[in-house]
Amino acid sequence: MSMKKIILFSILLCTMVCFSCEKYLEKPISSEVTLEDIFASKEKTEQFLWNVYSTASIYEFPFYWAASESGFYHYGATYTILAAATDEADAYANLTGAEAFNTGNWSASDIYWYEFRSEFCYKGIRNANLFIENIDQAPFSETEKAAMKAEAIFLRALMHFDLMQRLGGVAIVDNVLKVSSAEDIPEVRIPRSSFEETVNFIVNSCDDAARSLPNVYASQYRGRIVKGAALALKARTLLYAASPLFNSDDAYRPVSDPALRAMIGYTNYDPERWRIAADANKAVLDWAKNESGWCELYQGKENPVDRYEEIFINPNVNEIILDAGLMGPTATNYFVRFMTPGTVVYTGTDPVNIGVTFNFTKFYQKADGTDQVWDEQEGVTYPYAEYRRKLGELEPRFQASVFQSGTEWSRGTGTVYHFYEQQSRLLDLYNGVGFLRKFLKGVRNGSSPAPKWITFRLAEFYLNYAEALNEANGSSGEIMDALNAIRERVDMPPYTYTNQADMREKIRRERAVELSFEQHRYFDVRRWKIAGTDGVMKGGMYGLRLAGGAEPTYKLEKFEDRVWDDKMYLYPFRVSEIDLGYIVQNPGW
Amino acid sequence: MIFPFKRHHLGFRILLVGCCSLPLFLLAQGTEPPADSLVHVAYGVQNSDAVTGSLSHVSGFTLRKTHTASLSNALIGRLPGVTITQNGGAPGFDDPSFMIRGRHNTGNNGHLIMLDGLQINSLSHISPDEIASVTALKDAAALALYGMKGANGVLLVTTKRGETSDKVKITFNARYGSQQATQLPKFAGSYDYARLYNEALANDGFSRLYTQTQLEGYRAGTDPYLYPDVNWYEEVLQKNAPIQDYSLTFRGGNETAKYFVMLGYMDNQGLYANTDQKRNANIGFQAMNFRANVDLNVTRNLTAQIGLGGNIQDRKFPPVSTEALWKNMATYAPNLYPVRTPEGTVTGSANFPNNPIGDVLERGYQSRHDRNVQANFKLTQKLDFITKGLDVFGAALFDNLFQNRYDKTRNYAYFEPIYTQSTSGMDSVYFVQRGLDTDLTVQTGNDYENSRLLFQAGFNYLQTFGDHQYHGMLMYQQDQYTVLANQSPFAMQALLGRFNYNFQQKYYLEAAFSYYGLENYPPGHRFGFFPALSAGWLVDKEEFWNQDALVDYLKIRASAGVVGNDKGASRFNYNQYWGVQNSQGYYFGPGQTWYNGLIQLGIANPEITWEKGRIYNVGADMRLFKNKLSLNVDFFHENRSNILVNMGNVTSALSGFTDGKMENRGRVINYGTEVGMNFNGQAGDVGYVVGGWFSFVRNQIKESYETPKKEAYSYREGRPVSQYFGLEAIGFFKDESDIFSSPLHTFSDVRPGDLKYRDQNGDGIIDVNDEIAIGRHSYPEISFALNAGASYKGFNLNFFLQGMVNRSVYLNGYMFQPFANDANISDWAVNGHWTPETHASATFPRLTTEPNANNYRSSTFWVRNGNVLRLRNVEFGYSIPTSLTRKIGMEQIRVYISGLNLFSWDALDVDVDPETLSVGYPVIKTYTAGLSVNF
Repeated sequence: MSMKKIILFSILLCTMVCFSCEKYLEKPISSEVTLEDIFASKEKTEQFLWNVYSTASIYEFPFYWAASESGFYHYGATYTILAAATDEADAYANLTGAEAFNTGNWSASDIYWYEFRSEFCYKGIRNANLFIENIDQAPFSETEKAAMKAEAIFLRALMHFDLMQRLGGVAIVDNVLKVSSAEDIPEVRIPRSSFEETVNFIVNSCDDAARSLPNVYASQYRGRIVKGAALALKARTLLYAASPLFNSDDAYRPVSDPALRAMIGYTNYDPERWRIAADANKAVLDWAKNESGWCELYQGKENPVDRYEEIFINPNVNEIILDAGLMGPTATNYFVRFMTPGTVVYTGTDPVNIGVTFNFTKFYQKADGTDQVWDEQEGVTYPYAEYRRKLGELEPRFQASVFQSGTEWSRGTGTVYHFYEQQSRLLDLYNGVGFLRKFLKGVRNGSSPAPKWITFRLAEFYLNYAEALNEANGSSGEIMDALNAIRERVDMPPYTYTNQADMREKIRRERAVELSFEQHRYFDVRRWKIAGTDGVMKGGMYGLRLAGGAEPTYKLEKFEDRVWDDKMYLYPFRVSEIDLGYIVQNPGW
Repeated sequence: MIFPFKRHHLGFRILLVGCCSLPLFLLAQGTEPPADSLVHVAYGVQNSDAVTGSLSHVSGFTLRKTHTASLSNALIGRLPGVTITQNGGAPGFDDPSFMIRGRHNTGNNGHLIMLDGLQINSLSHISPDEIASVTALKDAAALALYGMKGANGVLLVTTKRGETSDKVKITFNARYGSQQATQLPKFAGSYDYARLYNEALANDGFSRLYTQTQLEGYRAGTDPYLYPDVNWYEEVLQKNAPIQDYSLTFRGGNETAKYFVMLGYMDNQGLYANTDQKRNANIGFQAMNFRANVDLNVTRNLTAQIGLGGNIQDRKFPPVSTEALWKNMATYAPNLYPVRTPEGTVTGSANFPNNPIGDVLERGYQSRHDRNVQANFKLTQKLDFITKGLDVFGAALFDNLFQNRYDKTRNYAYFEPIYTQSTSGMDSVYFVQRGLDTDLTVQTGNDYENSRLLFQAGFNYLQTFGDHQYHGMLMYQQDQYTVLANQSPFAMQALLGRFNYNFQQKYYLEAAFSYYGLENYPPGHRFGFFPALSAGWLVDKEEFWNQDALVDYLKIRASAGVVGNDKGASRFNYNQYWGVQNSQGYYFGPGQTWYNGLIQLGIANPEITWEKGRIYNVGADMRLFKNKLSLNVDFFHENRSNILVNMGNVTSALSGFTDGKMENRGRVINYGTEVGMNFNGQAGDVGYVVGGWFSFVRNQIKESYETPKKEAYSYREGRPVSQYFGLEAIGFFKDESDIFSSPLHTFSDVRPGDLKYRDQNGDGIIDVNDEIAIGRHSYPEISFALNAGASYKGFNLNFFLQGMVNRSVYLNGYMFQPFANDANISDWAVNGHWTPETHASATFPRLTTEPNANNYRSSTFWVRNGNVLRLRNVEFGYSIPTSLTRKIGMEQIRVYISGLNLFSWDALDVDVDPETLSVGYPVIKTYTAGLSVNF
């Protein structure tokens, strides 16, 4: 029958079709890389690890703004450093994220714009988890694999710490969250862990990583995670956890929900936490001295000003446990625009101009260890020479950190800037006593290598140890040894032990001065629960206003009244996450 | 123009791609030739009685009536159910936006265009003279064969073919038109600009900028250098721009061979004045088209079809983006600078360096050159020796487009006026040179190329057994599309079939399917099956039907089926790729060596698939009053599922996906109706025709996985796609106490004269949570067209109107925000702006020089009714009597004049075009004179 033949033909046609089907539509070989390709290759596995580094929040500096690279900016106040949102400094340009903090004009719906995008932490966490779950397939030796996995475990812990110090207890993500279909989405909405669980996760991760991390790398890999970094993160985490904000019978704001109470801190005060913190910080100092073979407080250079400055401009200083180069082709230009004064270095017309406040200047002693006499009254003018003298008498770390009127920008060049006569370089546009200088020697547009930003340096752990030991009523001798090691390194006269309360103030003051502008104080004043104290995160901020003319003068001037609310001790979770309904918002937001 | 209505019981022919022929056009009447009873459908033709799906078509002859440079603009209003929105008439860049049966999804709504079996990217550059018809395929029965490329609708373009005739039929067509902007927005002169700028500054709390002397200077307007008052439209534009086209066609054949050949040329110039095409250029477009279709009867049982076509497109334009140029002409303040210095050199300023005259006349030109070739070859062998009525065929089709550029550009020195006061206190001006003159420099390259190669093979079967008639088509097709520089070509593969059965040519049944595969989906999930079932019933053939009834013809039809849409998915999204990207990596080592990182590229969806449209359609075609009145009506409902939505909206940040992950989870329903009507009458010597169509479509988002919202009324779900959202403006703030007693407006500090909004959720503040659905959307729910014509002896007169209803426009951007970045102020704001004195009658907020975040945001104040009716076409023609033309050896001569876009009516209180909002090149109107000669 003819129909039969038609069917026969059809079958023939279909066979022909199906025979060539999949082949015809098969994707041709191309250069595109899949996850399997990555972990089959040593080189690509390493490149993947560099991506974990790149998406991890190692750098405490906001360095990238291009929208297409927005994945980079999860850190630091927009357009400036976090120090500009504390009593340390002020950003003159009013477009910064710090401005929003200082005016109290930020909320759950825009926090991500002013500082810190938590979703990018989780991007880094996802990359770390992908690495941790796949590294075992890679063609490396078992030791190499264990060490590389430890790096990823550390980075994952670091990102959880970044979340914790801003948000309290957070969702712990320790595996690659599968979102292969919408059905998975509820499972991705992991609720917040308690503060205690979060701390424990970070600490355990650090212990875990420290077991496999090397003490040192070959020179070309300097900057990778060493064992000391894991110890350092553990030490800082435990110090924060022991601090008044989290280690207290009373929350910073009354909370009725016990689950939420446990998310924003421990539910009781336990002095033992200070002891644990002291031990953890001692472990960093011990590691440096006994195990690392290289890590020590920097003691080079004759002049203490040069010595202190060198730590922040020479990435090979042996004091640095972890730092990171600022990323991206335009990062250095941004760094220059955000950080350097006026148009001394920057070539555009819109510098941010970070000024060091008068409030903070008062923390610096004179070089002989006594306090400067600051008796200026508002509204009274004083001779410019007095400004020069009083600031000039301050200790080496001030001289290294603050660019004052009447001094050189680049020390040794002989070019002196009097700010009141530098309108064309926009040097009259700042609030405070002068400009930020720390970190900036030799920085210029497009400078290579890119500037670095320090995450952990050894000095911090002397101060951490001193603080924790003092709170734990530990040995006064050890407290003083740790504190004075920091002072003596910059030729400042040592302190002698008085009592716990007095030492607490001295340790805090020393910490402010030594770690100034390194984005410590922003978190320190929170964990000490002193942010609401007048003159810290709240109230009047002062500067010394210069005026030119035949007889230049200065006067004390309040440039800003800052706003603080105790709910700000912890950030709000972003509203888009709250609206998804799986997160309990922090109190007050 | 709506449906082929004329009952004309031809026997079936063997159904081949594009094998039908159309009768000679009755040019003398100047009206539509009678529709052939064969209708183009997917991969074939059908007798119009057998058509059970929903489609509409228009002939090349009708498209010719609208004198536009691109065919797609000629289609406006010609296809019921197809809504086309104009995007301005820039020569060579005037593609309008299409929608076939409205919005089907929240993603890519693009339709498919097929030209003689080849998928093409645009039908703009095909000449109407090479076209037999354009058919819009609209329901599942019509679209099933296009598988996962069909669901948004298909435009099927079929070119003309040869026909048997005694002698060669030669046609020559010529048209010449003059184009003008339909309207240009009106802006303030310098005096009003300066006066109101001062007012705006005062409103913002700043001191005034213009002194009384300056204001007087602008008012007097005596010194064009010191007090310039420039209307950039007048400086840059010419009143008229020519458009012309010519075509020559040859058509003929005998039993062995038939042919159709066309040659066409078109030249379309833009509105820029004083260009010389050497050192600078008007925006212009030239195209040459050719088409040669040959049908050969090689043996008694073997036929061959050969088609060749192509075009050459050359575009030339000033080296400035058209949109930027028109923006500058609209926004540059009239007193910014004089057009030229007293020495005749071009002015400019550091902040506004792009003097429109300089951009058009001093910077050289750019050009683009497209070369497009299409070819098809098809063999059909009758297999009557196996069984009668069976054919086997094979075909190869090819399309290639090559584009390159040739730019000749330069920079020029421009002179900035510096206004100062002399020692005597008099205003004065001098000019400072900025920039340098450079020589014209040639740049070439940026080549683009794409090519498509397609093979088809299959069977046709047609046989009648008594009252039963069977017709079947089964075909395999593979198609590969390569784009220069793409790593992987686009590929498709499909098995297609259509099976018809009818009983007594009264009851029709059709099953169509495609088993369709694309390279873009994961292995094992690349193929989809798309079936459609449809049926038709010719009621008038029933015994019970009274043959003397009013209704001469009545067909009822219905269809149901599933079609897909693959658009909107990124390539090979099923694979997660990782790659090295510039600037993403890390520094290590003492010298800070850069180490690249492997970063996650677009988030993969291993289960990605196509959208699925389940479409139901019922319709009827009828003719009444001795076939004088024809009517047809369609109702449809589509449930579109598997729409790609961004799951990032509902996924927690914990996943680490900061970019959206697209998943097939959205759903939209779309429903509507189309009604067409045509009446042909005769009163004495006067023949007349009145007709029109109307379509209504409405859609609703059913699932969209949008970001959680605070207020229920903020959700897009339950609303139409692209519904406008915004605040409800309830007037202007009257004074400070009004502001004080109103909810806090959080967008910026408000002052009297700013817009005041309703606090929808009553939380005491006005913020984004108070935004509600306002107006509609930019596309219309209702589209319609009307035509009316009359002919008397050799004369004919036709009107054609086209309109859109139930749409909104959002007045946003520079045209409506005076003084933003020092932009000029439109007459609308000049006349209606708020002042304390006019607060009761003001129609525009207070003037401000600041980016007013409170006023310039989406609200009911800015959203307007976008209804529009255009007199799209008027034609008046005369055919010289054949008795005269034969004397000079010509069969027919027809001359005519016509106008395009002569009038339009809209509901806007602002002088902007209701379709383009006068952004970019304007919509144009054209006056045309034409000639048609048949030899």
